Amino acid sequence: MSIDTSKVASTNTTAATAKKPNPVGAAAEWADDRLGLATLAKKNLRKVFPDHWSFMLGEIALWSFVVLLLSGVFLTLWFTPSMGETTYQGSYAQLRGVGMSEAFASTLKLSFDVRGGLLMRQVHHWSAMLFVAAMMVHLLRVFFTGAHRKPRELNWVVGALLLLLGTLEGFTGYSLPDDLLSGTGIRAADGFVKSQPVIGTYMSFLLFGGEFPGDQIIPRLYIIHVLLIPGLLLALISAHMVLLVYHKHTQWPGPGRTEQNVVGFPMLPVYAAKAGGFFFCVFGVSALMGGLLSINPIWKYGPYDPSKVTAGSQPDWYMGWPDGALRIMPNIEGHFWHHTWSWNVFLPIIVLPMLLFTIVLVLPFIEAWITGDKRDHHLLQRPRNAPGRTATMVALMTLYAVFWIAGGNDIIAIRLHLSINQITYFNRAAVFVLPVVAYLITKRWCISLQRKDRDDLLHGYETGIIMRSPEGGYSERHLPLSTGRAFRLASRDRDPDVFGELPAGPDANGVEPPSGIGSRLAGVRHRLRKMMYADNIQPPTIDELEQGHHHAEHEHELQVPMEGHAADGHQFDGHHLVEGEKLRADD
Amino acid sequence: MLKDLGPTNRDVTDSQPYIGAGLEHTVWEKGVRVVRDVVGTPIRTGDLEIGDLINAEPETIFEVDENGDPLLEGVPLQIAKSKAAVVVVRMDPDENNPAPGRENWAVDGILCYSKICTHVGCPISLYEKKTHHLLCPCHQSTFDLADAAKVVFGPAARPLPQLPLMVDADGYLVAQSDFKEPVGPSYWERDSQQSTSK
Repeated sequence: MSIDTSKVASTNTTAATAKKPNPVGAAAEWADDRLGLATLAKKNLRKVFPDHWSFMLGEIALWSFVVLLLSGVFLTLWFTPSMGETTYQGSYAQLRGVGMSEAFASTLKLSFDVRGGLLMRQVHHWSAMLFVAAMMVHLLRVFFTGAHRKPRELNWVVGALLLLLGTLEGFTGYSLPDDLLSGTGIRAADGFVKSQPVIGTYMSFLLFGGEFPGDQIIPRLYIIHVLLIPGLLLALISAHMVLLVYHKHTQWPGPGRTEQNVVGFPMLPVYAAKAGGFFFCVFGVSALMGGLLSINPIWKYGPYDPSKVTAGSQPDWYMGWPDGALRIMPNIEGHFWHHTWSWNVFLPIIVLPMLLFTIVLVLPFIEAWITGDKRDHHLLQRPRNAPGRTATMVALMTLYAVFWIAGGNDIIAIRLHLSINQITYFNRAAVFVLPVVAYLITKRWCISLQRKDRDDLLHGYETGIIMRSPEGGYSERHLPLSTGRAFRLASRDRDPDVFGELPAGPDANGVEPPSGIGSRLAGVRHRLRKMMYADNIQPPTIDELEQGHHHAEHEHELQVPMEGHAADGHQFDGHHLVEGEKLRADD
Repeated sequence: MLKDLGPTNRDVTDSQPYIGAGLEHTVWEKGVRVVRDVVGTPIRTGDLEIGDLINAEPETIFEVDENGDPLLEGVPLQIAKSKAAVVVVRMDPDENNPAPGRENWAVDGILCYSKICTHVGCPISLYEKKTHHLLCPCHQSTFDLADAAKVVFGPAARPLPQLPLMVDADGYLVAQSDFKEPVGPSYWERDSQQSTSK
């Protein structure tokens, strides 16, 4: 085989040199020589992120945290975390001459005398609301789409810790101004702490530096709010991001998307521009809310006074659900061995939140234990394709909602002219009944949607066009799905077959079934698996699909004479225009 | 190391670094006048009509010493207010159903109860004249003031502690003694069976 060398250049005998040194290139080279950035950048600037609107939810949380850091630093410049007493002399006339803590006075100063202070306070408070809300919606997205499955269970744990810390950060933050509303919240928190058996009183005295209210709680909450929890949040957010990069982002199934690849846009320029732009969207919305919507007007509540209270006291929204649990708890108190067991406080406000948080924390592990699925998953599932899981989360959401509504029972009673007693009794029952109802409805709903997907795959989608046959019979016209859609519907795993009985003897490999507690656990697991997969509709097999296509083709052949004619059925699905169409061929 | 975060209940109860220190005590004691909470003026029985409710405090928190300095200020004042705040109500004496042993705690149908909720400690404020019910705005515990402040609804487990009242030589309402049981939220060391009979 001879090589044609006629096209090879014969003139470039000297090495190419740039006419003029590029200053950017020089700076980059300088940095690369010292930091080794090029290798890092080469890989990460081309990192691919898949696109879907629901992947932005966590990003909202991230950016609102950045807004919180920025606005929070501004607030620390003027806020005085002290319970020292002072007499207000600022520009808000109604409170002039009133005795208050320095914390409250400096919050008034921030609100009325510092340029942009009120805006920053409100931006900070609104973005805190947004931060917790975005984390919760992001958590729901992750769970509903199965993104918490292996290998991402630990990132789920990190995320759940972020939610807990974010909530605590919010509570410590809105307690700082030392106004009447937040002071009442701290008063109640003292009651929560005291309700704990054995250690309650000690914890309360150590926390408040003596008897409630003392003069220690604001400075202590302050350092927790501006250093301890933000530090932990930053560290955990970093871990969350590092794991995200390490695991790579999940993606929706589609043509060309597999468990082994990621299809999307590269970091530079597309994703960096999108994410950067999105930061300004979040910042802009927070600034608009802070500028236009009043929040926590502490000057209306006045300074904290342990003998006063405002009617309709409500915590920030994310603290509403434990407050609701507290409100609907029956008033059980125990007296044993000369000691008081405050079940009425301890159970709803200490035990219940810890229990529910633990449940959320271990959800991925429970699910993996039930399904026995040890594979890696990078393709997302549609919520309907895991009816048991989706229904579980909807049940938890319903539980949350009932508690949350119970936390507003006074507002509901006043606004809707209802009896607060009846609302409370209703909620006491609803907290047990409604999650079960929600579970059942969601499960059946998901299965119906699965059935529809299967029908669409096998018989095409319903066009809404009614055909009349020459014999006078009516039928609805079905048309095949587009390839992409059919691919997305068909690309899901079939559920494992779990409906047999557990084997009594050794299995095919000679492994004995577990005995004792192990066997009881295996039994529980088996029942849970059945519950999880019961009545699920499986995607069609290849054979079924081919039969379905064959059937569709046959139907199509019968209708071929009508193609391109009036009323061929395509007027309504956008395949061709209807102008000038005659309804009948003989028109 | 954590010990220095704050004294314990036993520390302050034993050493009494300020008046009424410790969870089982308040600044109320025999002969302390019941005064209006904002202005600090004492109350005569005739000042109250049936159905009235007054938010009140012990006169101690308004008192000054011989140099004109307040007796209580700063933290002890806040602590005193957080435990000693009371409500004074007047009802038809026939409607009142006092608990055994409390028959002489009222003066002409005037009763005095702790304002601090026994649930988690919010100051209670919403009074319904007709039913004598007092409702806590935080978690809606409702107490029947005509029935020894028993809980009729909501998550609180104990009645509001009652302050025994009498009239002093000048005709003003005063306390017969401190509360007979700890006010405010329940806590582990609280010996409820003992304190109600104290």
